[in-house]
Amino acid sequence: MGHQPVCSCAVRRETLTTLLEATVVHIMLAYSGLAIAVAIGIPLAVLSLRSRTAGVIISTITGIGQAIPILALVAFMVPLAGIGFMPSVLVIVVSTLMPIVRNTYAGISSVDPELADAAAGIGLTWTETVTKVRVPLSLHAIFSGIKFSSIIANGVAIVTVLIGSGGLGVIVLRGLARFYVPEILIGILPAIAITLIADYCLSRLETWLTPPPLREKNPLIPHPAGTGTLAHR
Amino acid sequence: MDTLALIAETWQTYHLTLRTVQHLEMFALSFLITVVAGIALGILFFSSINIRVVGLSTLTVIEMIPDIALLILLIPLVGIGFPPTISAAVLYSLLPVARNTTAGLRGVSPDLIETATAVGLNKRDTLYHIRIPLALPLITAGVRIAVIFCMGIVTLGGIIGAGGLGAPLQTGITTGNDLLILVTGCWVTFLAVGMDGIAWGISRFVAVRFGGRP
Repeated sequence: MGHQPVCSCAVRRETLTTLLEATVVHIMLAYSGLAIAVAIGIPLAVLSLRSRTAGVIISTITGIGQAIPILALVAFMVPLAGIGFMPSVLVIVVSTLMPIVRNTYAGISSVDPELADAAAGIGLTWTETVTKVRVPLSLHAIFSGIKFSSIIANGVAIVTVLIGSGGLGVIVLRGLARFYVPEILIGILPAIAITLIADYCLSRLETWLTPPPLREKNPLIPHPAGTGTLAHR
Repeated sequence: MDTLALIAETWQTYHLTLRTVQHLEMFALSFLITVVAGIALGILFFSSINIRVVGLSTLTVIEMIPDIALLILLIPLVGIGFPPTISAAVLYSLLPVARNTTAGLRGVSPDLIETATAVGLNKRDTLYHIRIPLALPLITAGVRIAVIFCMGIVTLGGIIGAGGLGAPLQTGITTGNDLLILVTGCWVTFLAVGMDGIAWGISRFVAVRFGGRP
């Protein structure tokens, strides 16, 4: 694809600062959205485990929600929440929430029932069973959801330029409008790099959070079943 | 009645019937290629471990690129509009179909394969008459994911000039036409959720018929 000519003709000092700023906005946009989605999504999955009714409602909504095209979600923000940075964060929260809830639920609900019973048997409360047994044993499933969502977040953070989020999408959109390929690539390549780096960091975080005895391949760790969820790597 | 007339007018002005036809054409084409190529690749991955390792890792790397980025990366390679949209939708949706096909074919119980060999079926017959039918529930689950991916990417194609329902959505956003956004957005959501619903129904049927469990 010829990266050398791209560098020599299109990146001037001025564009480099623009690129840096755009990258920072992109990261803030994508990862503040993802962080909010994790903060909401994991409790929602635990709630699904606790109450059957809540579980059915949550899984129906997230199941249908996953099918909605991202561009439609972005467009809906204009009449519903207006344009700008915050509505863009909201789209990212909505679109990344679903894989997180579904994968977390798939993980914590498929922990060996005997282990949950044993935990209750030694006197752990329900909450402790979740925080000390179910979540540590299903970190792999939870992180597959978060990693998949991180990819989505990076994609949506580009599309949200249409509703005025700023970030790398601005460069891409300008490149598309003038159909100037180097500019398109300058906008898109940092986003891909960020996605790959984030994926690596999330894998490291997963290993770091996993209790040492569980780090090797352990038959007790449930892996995402792979039929109902979009993400299972 | 006034609202209805307004909706009808918006529909007419922005040629939403034509946009829907374009949208469904792109969806059908990318989806068909994905299913045929995905299942073929899945069978190929099943038959050779080397190809499987290389193929699945390649597809996994593609999957790690955000869909819009993949779409845009393809522009210098295949041009603008229709070709990158179809290619991106296929490339992105291949993994779930191929991986689930391979997993399904590999997951058939060795006892059944032994029985099949004992009654005189050769490798090819075992594949067509034992493995593929038993793998169908997992294959349809992968195909259902492909439906969602294809719909999403075909809609995004509107941004890079592929037409379809993504185009009026973008027009609505840039001109601040709330009605156009709501009409197109609801319609494309209805189509996407409907397609996913049909795929869900088929996967339930297949799970009951070939999976032996409701």
